Amino acid sequence: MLCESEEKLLVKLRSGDEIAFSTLFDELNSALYGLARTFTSSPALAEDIVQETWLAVIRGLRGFEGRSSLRTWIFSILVRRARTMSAREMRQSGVVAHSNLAANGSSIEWEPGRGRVGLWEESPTPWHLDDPATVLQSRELIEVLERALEALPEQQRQVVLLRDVEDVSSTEVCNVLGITETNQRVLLHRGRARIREALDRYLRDESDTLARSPSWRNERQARTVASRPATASPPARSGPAHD
Amino acid sequence: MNCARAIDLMGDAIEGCLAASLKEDFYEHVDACTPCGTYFQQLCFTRTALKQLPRQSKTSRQRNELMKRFKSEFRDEDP
Repeated sequence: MLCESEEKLLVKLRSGDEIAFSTLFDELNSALYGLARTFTSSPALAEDIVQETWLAVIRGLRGFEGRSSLRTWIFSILVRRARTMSAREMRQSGVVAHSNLAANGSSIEWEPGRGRVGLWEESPTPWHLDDPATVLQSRELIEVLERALEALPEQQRQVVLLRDVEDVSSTEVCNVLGITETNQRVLLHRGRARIREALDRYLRDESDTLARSPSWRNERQARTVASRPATASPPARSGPAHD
Repeated sequence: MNCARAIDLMGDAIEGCLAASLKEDFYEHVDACTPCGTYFQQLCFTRTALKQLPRQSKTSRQRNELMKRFKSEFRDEDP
């Protein structure tokens, strides 16, 4: 279903409003490219997938029935294109597709209904971040995150990217990727757990370095990149519940 | 609430969409259980960090072509 603003946007697009199309492009292109990269290691192929997606969007705008949001429809087109084009690329290059086991990442630290595996034989060590906002903005931490995201099994990466990086709702993610709500929750938790592990390794190493070198913080802050303001507190406990 | 159940609910909790009926038990557990409390805080930090990742700035190398295709597709429409 389309919200009012999407209905207005759709009318503009169908009337050939170039500014509306340009705005839509700027809003979604990076997210589409990021999602395309989860299907292929080739940046060039990812760009082709995105391009093919936009062409399909242009061709399909008149026929779009509005059963999903515009964004979900566009993401869904990309996923179909990406599956077809990356499978063709793998066939041509002789690469064998990952098994479901690898795609789902069965070796994880968390299982639904059982919580964390081996709970709590080894209790998590607190990170003792004096200034989480500054840590969040460091170039090194961003690189750790990007590498951890890249290393996730395909489906986990897709779900984490859409849910946490692109802020797409769980319902939209299920529709786009054609997975159940339960599967989405499992993939998301496994993905987040693996990324937490990567951050844990990095932040504990950095804490050790800090303990050895008092000048570490100054050097680290010098490498800090400008970014959006950051907070990392748990969400407020009060407020409306969403069942 | 035990640790396994608390960890199952952490995904909903960090998104702020934990069911009202579970909130009290959940937060009581993570306040009392040090490993779960630490793990929850670290998952919150992880999600915040992910949300702040810079978007991939790659723009389509064929943006101009797309704009032309859009114009061509809707040439006869009246904006």
